[in-house]
Amino acid sequence: MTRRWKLIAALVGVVLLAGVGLGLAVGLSGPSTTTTARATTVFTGPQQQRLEKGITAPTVTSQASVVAVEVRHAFEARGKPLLPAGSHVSINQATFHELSAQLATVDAVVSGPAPGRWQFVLVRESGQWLLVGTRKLA
Amino acid sequence: MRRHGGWHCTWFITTVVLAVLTGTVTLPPTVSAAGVSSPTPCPGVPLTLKLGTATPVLLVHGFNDGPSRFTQGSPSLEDAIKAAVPDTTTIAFDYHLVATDWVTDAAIGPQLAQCITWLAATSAKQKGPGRIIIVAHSMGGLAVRCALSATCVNGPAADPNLIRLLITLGTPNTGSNPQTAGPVGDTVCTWIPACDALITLRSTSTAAQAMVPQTGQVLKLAPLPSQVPLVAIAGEIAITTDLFGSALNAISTGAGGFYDDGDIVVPVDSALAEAESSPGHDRPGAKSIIVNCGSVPINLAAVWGAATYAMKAPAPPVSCWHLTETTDPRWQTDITAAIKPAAQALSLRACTPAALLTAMAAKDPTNAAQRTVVTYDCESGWAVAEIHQPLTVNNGSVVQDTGFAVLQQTEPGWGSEGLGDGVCLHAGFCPGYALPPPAVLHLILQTAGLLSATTAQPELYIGTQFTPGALYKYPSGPSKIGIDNHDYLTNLQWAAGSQGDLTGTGTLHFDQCNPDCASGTYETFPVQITASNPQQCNVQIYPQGLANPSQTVNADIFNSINVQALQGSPPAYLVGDSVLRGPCT
Repeated sequence: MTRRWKLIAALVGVVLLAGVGLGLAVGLSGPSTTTTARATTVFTGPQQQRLEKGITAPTVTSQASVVAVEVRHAFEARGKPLLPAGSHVSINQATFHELSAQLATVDAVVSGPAPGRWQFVLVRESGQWLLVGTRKLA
Repeated sequence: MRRHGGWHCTWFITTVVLAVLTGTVTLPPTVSAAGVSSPTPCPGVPLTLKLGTATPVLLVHGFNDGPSRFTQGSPSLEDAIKAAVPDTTTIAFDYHLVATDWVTDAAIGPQLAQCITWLAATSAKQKGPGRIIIVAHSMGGLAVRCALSATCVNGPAADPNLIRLLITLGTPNTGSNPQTAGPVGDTVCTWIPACDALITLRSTSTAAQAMVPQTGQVLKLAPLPSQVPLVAIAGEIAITTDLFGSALNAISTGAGGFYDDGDIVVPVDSALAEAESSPGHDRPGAKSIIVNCGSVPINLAAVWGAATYAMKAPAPPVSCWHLTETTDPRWQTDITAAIKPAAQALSLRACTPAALLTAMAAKDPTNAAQRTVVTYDCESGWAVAEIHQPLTVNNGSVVQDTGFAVLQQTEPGWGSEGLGDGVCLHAGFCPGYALPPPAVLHLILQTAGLLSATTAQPELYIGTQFTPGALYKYPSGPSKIGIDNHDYLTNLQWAAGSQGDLTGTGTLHFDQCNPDCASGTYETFPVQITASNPQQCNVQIYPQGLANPSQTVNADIFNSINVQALQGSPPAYLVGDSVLRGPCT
């Protein structure tokens, strides 16, 4: 193993340890720690990108695909986009926090005409994390 | 699968410890830890239970709970009922030692069947309405359904007609929430021990298994008999959210929503299922009440969830939920509002002067407001009452008339068979009246002290040249008697004598006729009159006064009337047996 590969292996190790540490931290904080251990539900990169793109999609109909089933009808009936045109969403995957196997939060930054920091409340439906609510962060 | 198996035991212990520590389950000191055995079929209720004529209200707690459910809060449900409907007595059915078992457990449904039967019988025995009202929280409502089903109790079920009203509070008629309330409702449930226990106890609790919607034993439970009047109360908690500053309140968990979170533990549809008519299950008159218990702001899930977990109950803006259904003022108002008319209706079945007078007024409204019950008693669904009511006599004056009413208990209350002088009651045969069986009638008359009063008694006949002939019912008589054209008796007061005779006291006015009778002065003497020697003969009476024709009637009368001075010495012709001579020769 070359020195370069050793360095890469060490970095991977650090990242993995950090991941385990983060996982523990997530698992031990908030309401979910008070129940039981459970299999971690992964919030994958593709899921993150799907949300980021869906929330800023050009039409209400296409935005609705990332909105949870429970609120989709009301959202579509309202007919207004989630964010103004020209907005950009960047989700911080490291803040993903499961409240239960079906409910989680993740923080995001919105830039563009209405910039701000938000906490997304996500609900897991048919294997996908979908947006069910948002809370503005200071 | 939500949980890893190893956590079940830990959670079971934690839940039980938490429940005891937080007062969810309080062990009542009067019940032994060995079981729910009791001297009466209602565990924890003594044989000496004094219900009197009050309406019994039986309180039945729910899953993993105990009778303290009804004594918690300020006011507690017990106190709220007593304050709003004073003429009630609350009794709690205690099955806390087996409260995680399914309602078919011998100590739950079957025991409750016996308790209902005993309580209604005890009420009847103590002159109460003989019917009860039940308030059942959560699984307690399923225990009542079981108690009324012979299949469920595997023996004699309670008679549904004994229940005047059943009020269910968040009863999971078609199952409880967990794993059916959707991702939001299910998550909320896991944060609250009282809700989570339905999942964590599922491996050990037959009740938790039975209340799993769609698959549990609850679906096999017999429906509530349609003749049981039902008020079903459900709590509804909406779930609201916000998307980038725009509120969305469309996630209603009730009708039209995707999920029915109900009161967190029991869905609205499940709580109201028995109140709704369905094919083969008619429910005329049943009432459904949905209490708005606020909302869960799901966009604030992290903050709200942490607060909820810390409180072990849904945090504001949720204002009520499954475990506050006995203490929340709105629920208490709905409960007492339902109890009040039912208790009032039941009070008409009790053996009370008010209930008897109500029945008499329905039969004979004349002077009903002035009618009073002097004495009464009830037995085996019959009642006899001695009553006083004003009676306008010939001369226009009003006297207190004594009468008797025979009443028979019907489903809604007492039915008056009519009013009479009661004499025929002694013979046990009153033409036109329905009477109780002789033994029952005798017992009633004896207990009410009416045996002598209803025995046929001779009447007093007074008739002189200056007093129109008239008959007076025992033990009454005239207030004054003219003896001749000068002498007379006044202030006469009559009473039954100890030997079945009649005694009167009054004042004898003797005209001294000095210097002559027209201008003579009077001397007075206190006198006692004793009427005795009953005989039957024809007498002349003047019901319309001396100016009108007389009637001859055959009467059983006192034929000896003796006047004696209590002080002084009136002339001999004004005392003795000859002054007011009896008419029978």
